[in-house]
Amino acid sequence: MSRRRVAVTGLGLVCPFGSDADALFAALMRGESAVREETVGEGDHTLTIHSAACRDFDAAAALGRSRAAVMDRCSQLAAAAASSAWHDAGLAATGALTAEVQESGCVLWGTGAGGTQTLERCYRELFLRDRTRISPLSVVQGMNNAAASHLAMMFGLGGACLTYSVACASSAVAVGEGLRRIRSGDCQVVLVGGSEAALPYALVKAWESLQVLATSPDGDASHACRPFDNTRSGLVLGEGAAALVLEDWDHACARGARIHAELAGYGSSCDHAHLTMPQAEGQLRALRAALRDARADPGDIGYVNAHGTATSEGDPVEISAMRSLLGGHAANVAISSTKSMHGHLMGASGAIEALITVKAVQSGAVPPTANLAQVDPACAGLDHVRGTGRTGVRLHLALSNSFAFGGSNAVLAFRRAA
Amino acid sequence: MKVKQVLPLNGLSALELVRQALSHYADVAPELIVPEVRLDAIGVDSLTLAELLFELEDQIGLTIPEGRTAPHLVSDIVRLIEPYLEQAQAAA
Repeated sequence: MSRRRVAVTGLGLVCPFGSDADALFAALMRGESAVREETVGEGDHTLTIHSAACRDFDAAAALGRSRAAVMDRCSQLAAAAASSAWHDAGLAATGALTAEVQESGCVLWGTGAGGTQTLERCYRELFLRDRTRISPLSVVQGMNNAAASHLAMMFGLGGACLTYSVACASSAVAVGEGLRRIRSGDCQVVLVGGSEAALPYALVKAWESLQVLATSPDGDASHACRPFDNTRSGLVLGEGAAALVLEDWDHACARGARIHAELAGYGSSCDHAHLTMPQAEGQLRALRAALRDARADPGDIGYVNAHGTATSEGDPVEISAMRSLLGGHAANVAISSTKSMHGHLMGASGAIEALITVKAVQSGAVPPTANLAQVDPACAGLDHVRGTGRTGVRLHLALSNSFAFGGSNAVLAFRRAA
Repeated sequence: MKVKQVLPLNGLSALELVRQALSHYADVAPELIVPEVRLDAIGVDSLTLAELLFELEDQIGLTIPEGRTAPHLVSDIVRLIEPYLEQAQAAA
């Protein structure tokens, strides 16, 4: 039975490596890390951690002062990334889309913590400075749907404007649901992605309490995140945003759009077992669902961009699920966790890793897992890409995995554009 | 996060204070913010205006009562804060 194909026609991001998708991919291929030692908080409440922040991001320069001033940083990152994606898709010019396509166009966005920096500012004002009033913008800056709302306004998109909050799977879910919207015929164009600016003091302290934040083995922050490694010690928090323009394939071709890749499949599931301990069976359900949806076989997969947070529990579970999925093909399938270099962008991780996976299938190159000196035997069985990336890879189908706290799983399948 | 700078009030005119505050929210050079300028022409909508007035109250250290007519021009904001600025400067 024929069904609509979905093209990825635009890519945009703001991440610890900057705002250029090609520059990001090149840095990842070199095995470079953006993780540094950073101090979060202010005044008497500070904490130094290893993190991957968007240090050079100037919201006023990127968005204009009037727009940036009414946004939390989460929305600022989103707006900048989405603008890049929209421009990359060739949609920035007036009349690029018909009024009908514009009015039905959707925004599906993911974030785990939303306007959390605004919330911390409010609490600081009220409880530390005994203010009796706080900024009138607090609600509209802090609300989790702020980013998506701004994007709909910026691009005049009148269809569904939805925000998915599924922890680390938030933006992967947004991308996948965008696929479904276009296939259903609801719309021709969907702006999808995610943003996260979750490095305020209180939230970082909350992560510290979970005892999952990475430590560096040698004092060098860039060595802290070591997915699948025997000596891994946890995750590195990051911030940023990534956006993709999804478009009905025929619509994209008709307007002469450049197609980066095909979004071929999406699978989602829930472990329904534990809030933090992942389950291979649940992840396997999402993986199989994504493959079924892509009408593909395990042998078609050439690369997996792993969730790979470098936690002691999470990495082996993911590899176990991948081995179950791939069976006899497992040893031939390249896998890497790029979180080792750009950090864990939380609600935005699904989107930035989807973008990286698109670049991989588009360029026939797979980035490495940085800092992977010795594969933990519990994580063995797949073809771990280590050191620097591989080029000249015959890559037709790749997966991007997102496995979240709460047990929600989302897997995206990207196919090389024919 | 934006760090608000509290300006010394002595000798500062209401127009200068409004200019400094508007520079955080409008993409226009401070010297072009003159009394006749319409707020909507420099990107100041109702939400931004509420935030702007909140910041001006922060700078002056006094609360401007509710129920006032909404400003449309820069001069409207100047007239609104002038008595409170004078009060704050007299108390300093």
